[in-house]
Amino acid sequence: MDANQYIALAAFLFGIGLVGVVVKRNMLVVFMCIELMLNAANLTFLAFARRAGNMNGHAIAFFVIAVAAAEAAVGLAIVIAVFRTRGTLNVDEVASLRN
Amino acid sequence: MEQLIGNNLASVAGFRPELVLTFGSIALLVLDLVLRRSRSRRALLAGAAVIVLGLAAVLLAAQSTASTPLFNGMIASDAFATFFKWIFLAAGFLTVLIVAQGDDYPSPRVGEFYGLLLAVVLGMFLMASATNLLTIYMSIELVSMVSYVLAGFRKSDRKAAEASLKYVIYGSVASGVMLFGMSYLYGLLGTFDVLAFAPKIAELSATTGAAGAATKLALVVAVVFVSSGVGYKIASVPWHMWCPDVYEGAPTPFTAFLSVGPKAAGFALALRFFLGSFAGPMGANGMAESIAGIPWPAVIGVLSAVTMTLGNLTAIAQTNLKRLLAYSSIAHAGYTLMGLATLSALGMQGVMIYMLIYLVMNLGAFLVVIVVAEATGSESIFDYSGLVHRHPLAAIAFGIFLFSLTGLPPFAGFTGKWYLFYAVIERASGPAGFWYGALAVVGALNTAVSLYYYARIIRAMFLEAPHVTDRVAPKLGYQLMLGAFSAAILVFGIWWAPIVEWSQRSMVMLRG
Amino acid sequence: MEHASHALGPVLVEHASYLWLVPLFPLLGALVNVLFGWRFERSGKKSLVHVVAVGAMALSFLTAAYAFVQMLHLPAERRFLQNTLWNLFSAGRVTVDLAFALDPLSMMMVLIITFIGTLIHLFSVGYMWEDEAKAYWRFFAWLNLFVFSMLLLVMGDNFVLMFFGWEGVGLCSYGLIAFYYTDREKAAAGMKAFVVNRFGDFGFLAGLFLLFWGLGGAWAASCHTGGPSYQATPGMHSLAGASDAAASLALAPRVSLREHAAPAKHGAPAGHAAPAEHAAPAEHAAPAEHAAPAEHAVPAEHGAAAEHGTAPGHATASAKGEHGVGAQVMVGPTLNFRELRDQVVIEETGIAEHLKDQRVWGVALLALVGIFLFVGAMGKSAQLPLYVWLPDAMAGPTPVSALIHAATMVTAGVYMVARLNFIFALSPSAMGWVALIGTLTAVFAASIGFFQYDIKKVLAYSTVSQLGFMFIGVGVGVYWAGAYHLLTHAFFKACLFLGSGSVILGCHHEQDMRKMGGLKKYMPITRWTYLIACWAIAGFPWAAGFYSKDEILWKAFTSEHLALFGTATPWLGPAIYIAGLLAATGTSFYMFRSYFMTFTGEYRGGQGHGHEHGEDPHASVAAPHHADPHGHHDAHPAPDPAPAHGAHGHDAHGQAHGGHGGHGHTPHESPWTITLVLVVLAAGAVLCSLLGLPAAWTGHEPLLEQWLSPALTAEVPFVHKPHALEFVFQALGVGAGAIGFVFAWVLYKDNKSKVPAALKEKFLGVWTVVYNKYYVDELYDLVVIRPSLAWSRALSWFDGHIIDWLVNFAGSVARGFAGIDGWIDKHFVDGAVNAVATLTIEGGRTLRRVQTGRIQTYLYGALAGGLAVILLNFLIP
Repeated sequence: MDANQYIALAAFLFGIGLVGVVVKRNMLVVFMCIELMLNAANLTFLAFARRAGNMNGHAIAFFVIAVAAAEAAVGLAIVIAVFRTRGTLNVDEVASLRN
Repeated sequence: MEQLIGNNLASVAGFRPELVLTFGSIALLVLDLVLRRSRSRRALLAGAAVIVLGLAAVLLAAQSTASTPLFNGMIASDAFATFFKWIFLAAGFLTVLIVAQGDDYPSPRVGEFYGLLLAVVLGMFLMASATNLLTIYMSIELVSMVSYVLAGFRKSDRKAAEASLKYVIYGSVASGVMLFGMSYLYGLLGTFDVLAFAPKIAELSATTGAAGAATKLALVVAVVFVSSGVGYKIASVPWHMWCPDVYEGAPTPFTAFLSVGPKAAGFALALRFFLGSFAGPMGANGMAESIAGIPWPAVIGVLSAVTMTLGNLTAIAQTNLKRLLAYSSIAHAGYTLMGLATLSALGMQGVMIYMLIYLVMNLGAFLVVIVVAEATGSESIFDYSGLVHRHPLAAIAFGIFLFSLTGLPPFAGFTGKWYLFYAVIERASGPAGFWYGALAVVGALNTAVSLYYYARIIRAMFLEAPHVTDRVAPKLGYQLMLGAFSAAILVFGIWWAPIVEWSQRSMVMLRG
Repeated sequence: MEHASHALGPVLVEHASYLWLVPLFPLLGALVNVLFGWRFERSGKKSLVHVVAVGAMALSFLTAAYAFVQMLHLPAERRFLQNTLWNLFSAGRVTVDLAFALDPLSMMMVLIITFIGTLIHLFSVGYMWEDEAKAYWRFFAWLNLFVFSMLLLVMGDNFVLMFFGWEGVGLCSYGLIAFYYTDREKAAAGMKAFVVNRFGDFGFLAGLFLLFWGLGGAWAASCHTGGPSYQATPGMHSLAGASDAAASLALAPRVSLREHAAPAKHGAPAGHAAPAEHAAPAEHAAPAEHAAPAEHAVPAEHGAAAEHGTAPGHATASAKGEHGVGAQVMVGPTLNFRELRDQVVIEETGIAEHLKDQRVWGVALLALVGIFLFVGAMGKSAQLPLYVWLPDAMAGPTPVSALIHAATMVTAGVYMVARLNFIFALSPSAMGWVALIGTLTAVFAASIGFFQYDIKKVLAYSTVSQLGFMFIGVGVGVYWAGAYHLLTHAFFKACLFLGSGSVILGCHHEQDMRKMGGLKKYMPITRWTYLIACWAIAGFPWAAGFYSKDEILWKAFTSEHLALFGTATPWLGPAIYIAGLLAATGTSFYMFRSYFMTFTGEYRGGQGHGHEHGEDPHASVAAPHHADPHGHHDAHPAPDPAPAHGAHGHDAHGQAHGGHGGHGHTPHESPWTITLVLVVLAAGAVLCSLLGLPAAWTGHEPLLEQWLSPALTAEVPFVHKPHALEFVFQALGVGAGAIGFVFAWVLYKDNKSKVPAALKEKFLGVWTVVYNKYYVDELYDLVVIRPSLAWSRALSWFDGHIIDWLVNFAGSVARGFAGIDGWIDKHFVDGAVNAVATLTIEGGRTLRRVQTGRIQTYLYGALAGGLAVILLNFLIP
């Protein structure tokens, strides 16, 4: 397959992730969408690495995977803390700090 | 290959403060477990954190400030980075001092806090010296991720948990967008090395026609995406909205740290990124021009004007001091962006000086908030009424910090603003001078607006009768810090030669 | 002045790295009292407050005295001490340093300020100890801060520092007048001083602006190289806060005059080629060097060194000036007094010529500059018509009146004119106006003094009148005599004010002289010092006032150079002399009147006293002290006798003079801190005469004139008159004082004469007008305050009716168009002025609403914002 198709696919995935982050109400789904964005970026990196012919894009993919894992861990811990104090997973209901 | 490894090994010599912070961070987490039962654990842990920071400071002082790339160009060691590293060390050190005396972080977990704080300092060190997209991303992520944890450190605190959740979602999205932008930059330029960007961008912009337009669009989108990662760190419009909520919800000492440390790191990164890759070399007149025909300075100028206006206007309506200071911190990001918008040596120096002074005055302001909150349990402006009768030192110090934040002489904030405005006005006689002039006018108007809400606090403290009678009796350590901060603000308000000279010496940045 | 006829060289600078200590001590004192004063007071260590304040003053005085000694050891032409601390800011070619400088003139001022300041601080210890304002520390902090500002004004070596000091003293004066800020009238007096002085400041700034506007032209004309060369590679930036002089020289490329001087000299027949000249063409040949200022500075410095060290080797008398010029004077923008003076005074620069030729709106620029600067001086030094604030300023505590409103701050205007003598001397018209206004003020204020009953008001008008004399001095060009009168006045007027303070204390806060009398019995020291000061001010030859006043009037008589509208008006000098003599007679009269009313005859206080106290805010609070007479004694060991006045002393004195007041309200002598100060000041008022013994007596110039001559170099062409005539005029001066004295003696001695009352009845109309100070306050009220109130009322009416009507109309129209829309209504009805504020605050509220608290809104915001930023990249051309 041509690199451009990967890039298009990645852009599509990124779009889904971004829209999901904005419209989904469930915290867990929001975090999944963030993962989607990161992986879309990874895919783009790999596609471009193939085109550029160097290993940079490959290298960063590993780092991103690690970061994504850490982010998920931290995110879930915080979701648990929020759930304990409020008993909800709906992001809209976590809005006491405002104005 | 051997050469690469050899370079990595040789680079360790220029990486010693960072190594100390890395191992110190881990050591504190271990020490936290070891000292579980010690009676004086609070003091011991704080002492350990101070020792780590002190060791890092010693090594930093001993280190050469000559511009050298480290780890095969992943990060740079230069005078510019060193200047900011001192700011980060100071921010870390002062935060440790504040936390050690306060009760925002409970004893059983304070060791974790110090360990993680050292990790943030490490991340900021890397942000200031990163010259590669990979290190930029990783350092921002390091700072962010640890910050999410520290903001929500008190798990049972509803507000802190909310702040932390918002922070993590906003931050992750921003860095995700940044990463995606980086992938496009990589695609366009074929390299991660920021120092090698400039010639490639110039090359790209030479393409014309439909392909040229598409390239330009892709480049702009990629850079704006990357900016979102930096922009959210410095809380600039339009990536500022997390800031008030997180500042309000997070424990105050950490809010204080957040408002000075990561903001300065963000500016260091932005300076390196924009001056290094999107501006030509600095001319003999100390000014650089943007390359590739893309109006970065103008865009940053607009963002600067909008950021300061929005921050100041919204701050007017606030009654919670932490929230007010959050909006004020947005406004200050706006002022500082003016320096970035000039793309000149003077502007760069202005940013450096401003971040240094902002460190002192904003930490000081938050320290007063901590002091009052410890006495009254409140952050509301109404509980500041008649503060001068309840604790004159706190009130006078706060007055000094607020006047300094406004930028009135003879306080240090004036010095900082003077250099930023001077940089803008210097540009006002060149091409597009009208717009720089307009930016300076907007900045001046904003300063006037900001006086309105700062003066409201001062009025409450000095002219109103106390509504509450809670005694404000700050701990001696706090009093000493307030006194020292005020003295520094006053001294640098009339004698700023050392800061200026130091920043001038530190304006050397590794270039490709 | 005659001796200064040879070509003037630049000022030679002597570095004195300790000068900054002089203003530092009072500043530290103020800081300590601000930070810890309230704590001292609360913890019963009240005396620490004045220990700190007086100690700071004493240290400052000692440092100044040390500088004085150092200056004495220098040859006259090198008496210029300088101490540059650091660069405050540089903008373009102008650098402003935080630097202090002392020349003989400012040295004299500094000695006055610190010496008399120390004495008055000491006096305040006794005076303010019991004050009911309950803010001992606040008083001393203000007082110290005032001294700091005053020293800044006098010692600052550039206009910026002077202006800081100028505003600082105004602020402190305002704070000290309004010291009893619970008292509305006094707070209003502070406000009045503040407002009137802003008006004067406006003149001062306008004068400076005009001056630099003119100088800008001169600089541009004489500076033939291009504009500022800007060197700013990162790391070597022109905004450097470089603290050493060499660097600041390097930053501001200036043209060495050698380039002008050298070619001219080559054309001269005398063929002595000095080594310095060889250097000149070499430099001349490389004008490109100007672009690299760092290099340029080096030869200039070099030249300076050569001039100092080797000048005798090849310098003939005529060449000296030129060499000096070539070596040191840089022509270019500056805010520094010394550099400006060098540029203006040294003829080769052509600056003075250029300034003289310039005209604005058909008027000579320099005349305008002088007059505007003098407007600034009018405000600060209380001259017609801006004097109105000074009598009201007497509302402040008496030591404040003595320090600020007699000895120091009010002389700032005189000092400024003397400081800028090289500017004023260039314009006979400016000089004429200064002298004329000074004369009018002297006469006018003296006449008001005739009928005042409030002892402090008498002294206030007397101060205004004496300041008028000083302005006659600096106006006609006898700058040293103006400064001399400033010095003598500082002593005798401080003595008079403090004497009146002692009297007021002794009479339990009574200021009305009709309720005094006979005090010489109770307060012998106060009486004698007051009498000596009266002699001094009245102009009797055994006290100092005679010498300064006489010199001023004599020189006024011999000046034919004054002008008013550009052309010389030789009659002005003699006219000023006659008016001045009249004013001197009046001065003598009202001063001795106050003396006789206060100290001779029978004590008239005591009766109806309780009633008086009931009205007096001081007394009502003093009462509680009475219940606990010795409560404070244990707490403060330092000035033991200090608390022995005021309410505490009543019982003791009541017994001692049991026969008098009945209930113990007899006057009493003040504690030693007060009388000691009085004695020192009175001694000073006599001994100062040694500094000004006229040349006609001694055969050589007065000591002070010799001392000040390096600082006051302006040449003024006084007409030479024989010594015999001078003796006659001196006799006339003494006669004037004697006449005033005799009248006062006849009319007020022992308060027995019925003539004053009869005269008052007979000329009730005149009396009323003068007693009411010629209704000037009322005039101001009518001319300035009422119209501005009316104007503001008109505006508010306009706002309330026309604008509102317009707005309402617009609102109705809008409603008509947009239907009934409450939102539009609300936002249109708030008048035009409020709109901005409302918009700001509403904007804040609206923006605040955007912050919904929902994280996804924020993300929307970021996305939309990011999109906008991307678009922005394409929108901006």
